[in-house]
Amino acid sequence: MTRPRATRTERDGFGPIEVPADRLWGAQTQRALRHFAIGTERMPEVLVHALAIQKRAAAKVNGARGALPARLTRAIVAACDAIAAGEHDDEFPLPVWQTGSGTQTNMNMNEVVANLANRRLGAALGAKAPVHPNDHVNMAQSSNDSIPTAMHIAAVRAIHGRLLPSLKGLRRALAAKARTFAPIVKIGRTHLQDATPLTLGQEFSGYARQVELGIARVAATLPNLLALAQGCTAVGTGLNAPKNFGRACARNIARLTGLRFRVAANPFEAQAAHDAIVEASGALNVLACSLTKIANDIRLLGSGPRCGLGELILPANEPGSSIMPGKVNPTQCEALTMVCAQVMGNQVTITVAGAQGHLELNAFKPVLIHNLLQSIGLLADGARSFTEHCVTGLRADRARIARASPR
Amino acid sequence: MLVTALTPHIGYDKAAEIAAKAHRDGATLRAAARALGHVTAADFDRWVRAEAMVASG
Repeated sequence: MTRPRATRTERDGFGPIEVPADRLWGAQTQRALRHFAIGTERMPEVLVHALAIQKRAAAKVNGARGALPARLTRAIVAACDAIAAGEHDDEFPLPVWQTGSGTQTNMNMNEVVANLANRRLGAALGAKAPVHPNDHVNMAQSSNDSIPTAMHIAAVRAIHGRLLPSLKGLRRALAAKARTFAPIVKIGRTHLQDATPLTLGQEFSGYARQVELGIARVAATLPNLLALAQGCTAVGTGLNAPKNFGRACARNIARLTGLRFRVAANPFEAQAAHDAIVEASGALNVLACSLTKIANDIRLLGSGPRCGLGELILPANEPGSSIMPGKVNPTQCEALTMVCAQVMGNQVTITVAGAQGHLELNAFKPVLIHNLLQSIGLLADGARSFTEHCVTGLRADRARIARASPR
Repeated sequence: MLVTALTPHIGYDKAAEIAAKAHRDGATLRAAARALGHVTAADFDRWVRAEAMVASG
């Protein structure tokens, strides 16, 4: 027999509720777990860490203007730093499939930060004092500006820190192959039928340029993602936030992340629409098309070994078949094209969700950021894996190419 | 959700109590605020004004 888990009583506007005693979340998170037991997709950790950065900036700005006592500010900042560093990922259990504004996740953050800060200040979990989740951690903020701010922080960090470096590595590897393969003359094919000659290097130079253009397209979406909704509060008017609160928060976030965040030019656009997310997904969609074409060409040119085109020899990374001995398959091309299929699907989801803003708020925020971060992460990992385990090890079968050359 | 304007003055939990009572009793926010004793009528009139809530920060 298992002993019932120890609990503590937390309260919110709907009354008391039992929370597991060792957990740092509070009443609203516990209610959300009951009401949104949907699917297995949790709010992404990258988004949780970005939200902690947003809360830290808000606390610093509130502290600096004297609205938040220094002792509470320090405790909140320390809590946010620990969360942003990934030390409390297990305290954010809520699914993507919750309110469209992400309010449950914003409150999950407010509750965990308040409990961590209160514990640091010697108070009991659930005390809501001296640090209150709404009045102090969420001071001068609404989910409607905090969540969009965190979405943009998360997207920019993921693009900057993961996707662009990975794509640059792929571009370099393809360009290196273009140079290596420059002397190899082969038959060109259009419509999959014999056409006129070109070099294998020329083919690969086209792939390298596709990735280079993809990098530029993704980078071109950053300026609009660097604009933050902070300071809009509930409907864009900035109710309960002091003048220039958003500007001060953006400056703080820029300093902390080293990325050029700024406050959005129009607060009503910034929370009623998510066009910047749709725009970024559009650039990822183009990238997915490019990578699919490149991976398909490489596996087509590597088909065989005896009865295919066989112009390229792909690295043999693992046995390809459980029944056919000696078979080796273009597995990296398959993984990458599956990633691209997912990214294209995510683009459709993001398009539908982005089109759904009603009046003052787009209430599809969790599904938008879940899909965008998944696309960024998959493309970053997919491109890196494809570079390391396929492109770098590609060889040309010169004899085979010579045999198939026009005579 | 005009009650939002009260939160910087009396905190989220008391403001939520006022909203809940007003809804339950079919009363105005002003009456509920006074009945609970969280806000005086004069403060309520000073803090909760739609035209003062639309200024872009």
